[in-house]
Formats: sequence, C-alpha cells, structure tokens
Amino acid sequence: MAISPEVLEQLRTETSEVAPLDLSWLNLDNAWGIRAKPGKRGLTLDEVEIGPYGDVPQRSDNATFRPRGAVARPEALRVKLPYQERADVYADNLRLLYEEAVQRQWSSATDVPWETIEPLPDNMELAMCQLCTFLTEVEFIAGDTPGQWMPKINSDYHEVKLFLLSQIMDEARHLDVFRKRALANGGGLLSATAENGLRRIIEAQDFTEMSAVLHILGEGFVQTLFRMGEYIAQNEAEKKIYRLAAQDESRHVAFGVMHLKHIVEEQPGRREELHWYYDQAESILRTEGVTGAQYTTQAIALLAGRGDIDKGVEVVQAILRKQVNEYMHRLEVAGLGDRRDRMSPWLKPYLDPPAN
Amino acid sequence: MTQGGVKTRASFPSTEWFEAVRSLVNSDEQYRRIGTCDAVVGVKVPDRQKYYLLTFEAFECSEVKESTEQEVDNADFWLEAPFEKWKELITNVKDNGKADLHHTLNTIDLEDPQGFARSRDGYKRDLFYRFNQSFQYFFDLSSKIETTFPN
Ligand SMILES: [Fe+2]
Ligand SMILES: [Fe+2]
Repeated sequence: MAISPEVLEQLRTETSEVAPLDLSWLNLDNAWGIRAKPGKRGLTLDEVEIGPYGDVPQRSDNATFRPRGAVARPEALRVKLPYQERADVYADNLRLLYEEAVQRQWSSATDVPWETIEPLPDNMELAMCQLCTFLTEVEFIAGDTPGQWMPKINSDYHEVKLFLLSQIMDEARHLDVFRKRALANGGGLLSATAENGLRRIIEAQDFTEMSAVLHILGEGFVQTLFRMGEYIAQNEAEKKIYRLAAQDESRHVAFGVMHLKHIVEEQPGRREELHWYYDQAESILRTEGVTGAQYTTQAIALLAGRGDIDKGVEVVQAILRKQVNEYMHRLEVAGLGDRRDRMSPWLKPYLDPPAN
Repeated sequence: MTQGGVKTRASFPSTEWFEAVRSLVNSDEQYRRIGTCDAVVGVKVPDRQKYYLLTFEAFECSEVKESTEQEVDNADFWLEAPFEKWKELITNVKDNGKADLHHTLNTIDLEDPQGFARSRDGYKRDLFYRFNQSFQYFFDLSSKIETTFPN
C-alpha cells in the first residue's frame, strides 16, 4: 500500500526533530544519598524503608500507582479511590511477614515426600479425601478474598499489597496440595459443602471486617485444623503437607491479629462494629460447623480415632476447645478481650477460665 | 555427626546438649533453606528444675543458655514436658533418624491438653506454628548426637 506524500512528510519532520531535554523526572529533593544496606536476613523491606521512604503517611490522597516516595504527576490517571487512612488497612508486622513468606515458600511438587503414601484402608482413604476436598474448597475463598481487596489498598501502603499477594500465593499452594493429596492415593475428590460460611467471608464490605472474619476467625480455626491434619497424618507426606500449610496459615493469622490491634488502638470507636462482625460470623459457624458440614467433621473424627469414631469424636471436641481458646487469646492480644463475655453461646462453653 | 572423628556425646538436659544441636544446625545448609526463623524459645523440664533459652535469629540459632523459670516465662513461647516425655521424644528421634509420625513437636503439642508449646501471649505462641518446620528440623538433628540421660 502506498504512503501518501503528506504522511511521509510528517514522519520525516517528526524523526528529524530532537525533543527538548525533559528533566522533570529528577527527584533530587527526596532521593539522593539513600543507600539501603543488607542485614542478617538480606536486603529486606525493613532495611530498605528508610529515610522519607519509610514514613508511612497516616493519610494519603494518592489515587494512582505512584510509589511511596516518588513525585506525583498531575496528569496521572486516577484509579477508583482506595483506602486513604493508614489505620484502615495497616499492621506493624507487615514487612516482617512478607519477607518471612517469601523466605518460607515451598513446592507441593517437590517438597512433599509423595513416595511415602501407601494404600490405606478404604474408610481412612475416603475420610482423608473428604477432608482434603473441604480444604481445597476453603482455599478458593482464602485466595479470592484477599485478591478482591488488592485494588482498594492505597499504593502508599504497599506493604499491605505485598503481604496480601504473598497470602494469595500461599493459598494457591494450599489449593493445589490438597487437590494433589486427594488424587494421589485412590480416594479422589468427594463432596463439596453448602458454603454459607465461606460466602460470609467473601461478602465482607470493609477491609477490617474481611480481616477480622477471614484472618482471625476463619484462618485461626483452619490453622488448628491443619495442626490436626498433621496429628492424624498417616504417612510422612501428609505430615509435611499439614505442617507446612500450618506455617503459612500462621502468618495469615498473625497479620489479622496485628491489624485488629492497630484498629483497636487507632480507631477505638469501632469496637461495637467489630463485635457485630464477630456476632455474625460466629453464628454462621454454628449453622455449618467448623468444617463446613457435619459429614466432614465425622470424616475427621474417623481419622482422629484411627477408625474408632467414638474416640475420634472426643479428639475433635478437644480440638474445638483449642480452637475457641486460641481464638480468644488472639482477640485478647488484639485488645478485644471483652469478646469473652460476648462470645456466641454455642462457643462459650468451650472457653477455659481467663488466665490471670 | 562426628566432630574430629568422634561422635558428639552430651547428656540431656544440659547446655552442652543444646550447644551441640546448635552447632549442627548452624552448619546445615538445609536448615538455612527452610527460611528465616526469629523467636526466643524456652525449654522447661520442670521435674528436673531445668530451664533453657534458645534464640533463633535469621538463618541460625544464635544462642543457647541455661536460664531461670521466670526468664523462660518471658520467652516468646516455651516447650514444657516432664523428663520422661523429653527422653521419649529424643530417643524416638535417635532411633528413626527423625521424629516418627507419633513424636513430631506438633503431635506432642496436640496430645497434651495443656499443650507442649505454651506462652502467656497468644500471638507469640503462634510462632511455634509459624516456624514449626525449623524447630522440628532442630530437634531432628539431635539424632546425630549420642544422648545420655542421667537417672
Ligand atoms: Fe490456606
Ligand atoms: Fe490462609
């Protein structure tokens, strides 16, 4: 196709013209002379967030992807307004948890000794596969939920984004490892659940509501369930799967506890609101049970009792007691100790008397 | 593990025993690969009145020392069991090269109604789970020590 003489002339003039030197990108006021040095753990966020870069503003009007410390361009396009208050999303352990997460990643393909899985009695294999089916289902929510909050996190609070991204990677691995276990020894995927409780988590309307319900209540209970999985594991592969997953889960719980603490300290007026979230979430747990369905709890009891379901039910009750007490202890650390009196009547009987 | 061709021998519980494991851990590339581990962990053997503090920092166990019960109470968390239970755990590790299915730290923790890992702070107690693979590796390495148990 021939080029018109006008276009040809335009191209000639454009390429022959040298654009005037634009030095408006230079940000000498802020940046010059900052030299972050690696520490014992390498060059971590704690080492790099120094000088003005380490100042996390209490409030931010940044509605673009401008990184904290960079100069804003007035012509920058805006995104949907993210959270503007640090307290709304922040926690004091974010940098540490992100680096820890990156350091402690593992591979479900190569870090699990799959060769140690041997044929199990049918009832035990089916029970483990029902537990793994439930856990795979749970991991979808655990990944989707932080994912949908990503665009609402202000770029000035990038530590929150980084942590949530690390959580999403963790949840991806959990999703795949439980699926792999279900398919590794003949049992396969069994029954999904009604998902009412899971729906409650993904439908949270506020970041703190999401974190309170997902990170502290949901993942706190799941962390105990993973420890329980390690306890009832029938081979080295399952031991390792549950132990490594419990490690990851503990980071998610740790963020939740420190975020809640941050909120209780920085926005004390929100206590009633927080209790309301827990009132709702605890009551849904009652309807669905901690494992989403009675049949999954019964499968766990079968595994815990090594085939003796009555004995297993006792173990499951003991685990529920641990779950409830650990939930309460975490809330106490966060400054919501009055939850002890307000806890749902179905969970309260499991509470030990308060430590002095 | 041999040091100068001689197997490391130490009695449990003693600072020498924890020092021996510490030195094994700090020269173990596999331990580093598990990832950073930061926690101050107490050890209680109450019926022997023995208390220790183990400091884990970045990729190493930076310090072990004998301590008082009060100091251990202020650790991030502590592992508490009677002497016989500790003996069972360490012997099991020795016999199998690592803890078998019934003697992992987590399993012992769940079997004890009070918990094997205890803390006055629910957040700090979670460090036991956050770094569990590192702590398990630490105790599994004790299989390379000739442990003796005083009566
Ligand atoms: Fe998960
Ligand atoms: Fe999680």
